[in-house]
Amino acid sequence: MQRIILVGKPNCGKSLLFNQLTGLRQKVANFPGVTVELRAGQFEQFEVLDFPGTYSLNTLSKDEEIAVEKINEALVQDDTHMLVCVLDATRLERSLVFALQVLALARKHNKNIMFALNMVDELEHHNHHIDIDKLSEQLGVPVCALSAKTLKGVDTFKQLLIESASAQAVALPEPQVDINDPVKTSRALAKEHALPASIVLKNQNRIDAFLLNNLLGSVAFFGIMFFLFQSIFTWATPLMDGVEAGIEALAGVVTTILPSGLAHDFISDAMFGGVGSFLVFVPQIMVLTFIIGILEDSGYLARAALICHKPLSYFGLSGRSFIPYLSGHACAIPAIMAARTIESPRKRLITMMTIPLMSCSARLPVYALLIAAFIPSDHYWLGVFNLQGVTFFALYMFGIITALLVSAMLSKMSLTEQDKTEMPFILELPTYRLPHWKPLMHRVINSGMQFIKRAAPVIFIVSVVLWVLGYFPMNAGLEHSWLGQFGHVIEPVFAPLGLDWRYGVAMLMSFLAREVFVGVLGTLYGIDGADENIAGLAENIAAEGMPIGTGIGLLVFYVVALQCVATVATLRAETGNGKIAWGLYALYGVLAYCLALLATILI
Amino acid sequence: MTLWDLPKNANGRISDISDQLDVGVIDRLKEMGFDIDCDVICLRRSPFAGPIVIQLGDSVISLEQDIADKIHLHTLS
Repeated sequence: MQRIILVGKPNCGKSLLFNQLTGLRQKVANFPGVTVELRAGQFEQFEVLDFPGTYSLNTLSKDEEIAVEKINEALVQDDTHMLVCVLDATRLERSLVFALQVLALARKHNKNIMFALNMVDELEHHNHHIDIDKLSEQLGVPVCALSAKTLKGVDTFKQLLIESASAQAVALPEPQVDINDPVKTSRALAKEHALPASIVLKNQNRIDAFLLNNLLGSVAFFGIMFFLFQSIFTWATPLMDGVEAGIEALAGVVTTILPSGLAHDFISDAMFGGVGSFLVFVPQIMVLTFIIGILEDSGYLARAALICHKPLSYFGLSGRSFIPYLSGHACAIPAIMAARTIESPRKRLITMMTIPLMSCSARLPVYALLIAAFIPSDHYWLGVFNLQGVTFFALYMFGIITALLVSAMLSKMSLTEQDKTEMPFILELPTYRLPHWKPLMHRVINSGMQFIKRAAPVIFIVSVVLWVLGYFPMNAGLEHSWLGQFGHVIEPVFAPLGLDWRYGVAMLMSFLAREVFVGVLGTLYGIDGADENIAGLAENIAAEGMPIGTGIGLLVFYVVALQCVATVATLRAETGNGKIAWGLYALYGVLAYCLALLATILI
Repeated sequence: MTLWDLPKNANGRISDISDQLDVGVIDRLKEMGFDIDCDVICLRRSPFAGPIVIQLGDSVISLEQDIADKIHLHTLS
């Protein structure tokens, strides 16, 4: 199929133009381990490839390097018929630097090229007019003025695009300007054609005066982050409940049809219990992607990164690490995906490696059970704060502090060869804009689809293996199953923590998903539906009179251990390195065990 | 003085970019408009030596100290 390549600098409205060209006929192709996201769609008889926004062909980071490498690869292919470089008409100077580099490259490879001068609606708003014919003549390339947002000029652009892309490579007229010195030429052309900076930046600087004010900006920052944090729980909850109810209903129907026996138990426990339970997290991921998408498209995310950069830099992290850390308190999976916004590969890797230490929502039932069982409810710290509440807060803080300390430690180590190409913190603050729903919705839907595609196979395999171990020999009960027998074998490992084989099995099974701990322990204590009846189970555990040190040790274990196979699968996909993902799984497990042992001994 | 020394709301004109910076970073800065004799305005100074925010041409750019103190300026009134 004949191909059209879409390139441009970040925030030039390229994604929206891509959406206007391709409609729903698009898909995302990911390159594991990098933030490069290449989207492909269909426009008439052409395949349109949307390349990631790039500031320059002279790359600074690994991610940019891969993006430019892909542009170069595409240019030498015969299928590539046309290059479209999208320019932000309100930021002509900055857009032209990259556009002139691309123009030189297209001429070198004898490819058709045209410039799409986007956002002309904003120029009209300021009564500014660019002489398109003259600009086109000076550059020696067709220039089409349009607004992907209001659709002004888009039909003409499409027509011109079809004609140009269908034609054989044509000899472009010689440019009247020096395209080999993009910086100076851009400045000269911008002086002649562009809207003055004082007008372009007037509104942006006015909003920044508030949002980047040292006092008011901080208040706004915490307000926005609080809203984000709340939305992950409140907006996602009804959707998650809906998915859960749907799965339960489906499970009910399927298990009623199936005769009782091996197949029935397998479908009910392994398929719906194991695989089905992870689908519940999909709405949370989509809501989070939606909120972060709004923050990013509106231009605020760059400001949040700027505000957080200094405090996080003490721990070897970037300002951009903040959002993934915050998201990690809901669920590590979307948080690891959100780390894609971090430009520095090294800091992105460190952020992804430490996100699992944030206390995610799956830890909540475990914390609730153990606190109710081990921490007295009638004790108050300093006579004011309920000790159970203080313990909750302390567990969240312990997770954050551990993550920062691990980050500081990792930043001292040379993690990858990408260390050499460390991206310094140079951040262009984009214009504030109202996000457009089309690219945002595509991103939200894709985030859910990608999550399912990546995590489902791993969850499926582990669920099946655990189910088989717990089910056979048939009718033996959990204690005498292969899993139970294994529990007795591993009992000595958990004995130093003051725990018997039941806890060993529960802790081991919770390496699939930590919330499994409550359910397994409930079954082993003979209480059905323990998930919903934490108080009854807590009483039973408390009645056994285990020392408080054992309880604290268990809590510490659950703060630190990476007990979520879906997270490991996501880590593997996002880092492109299975060793890192499974290594962390093991290392956080060992660290959790050591800290728990220390707590048991000391307390 | 360097860009890092520029007080909030003050103007400056770039006189030199130190070659202590990585060549790739210098090239990127030039492409962003950091060139000799270009004017900059400091829009924000962050507490605890956090990144500064400056206006340069039609862009607003944030830079950390490691880079800002390697960009030299003539001061303007």
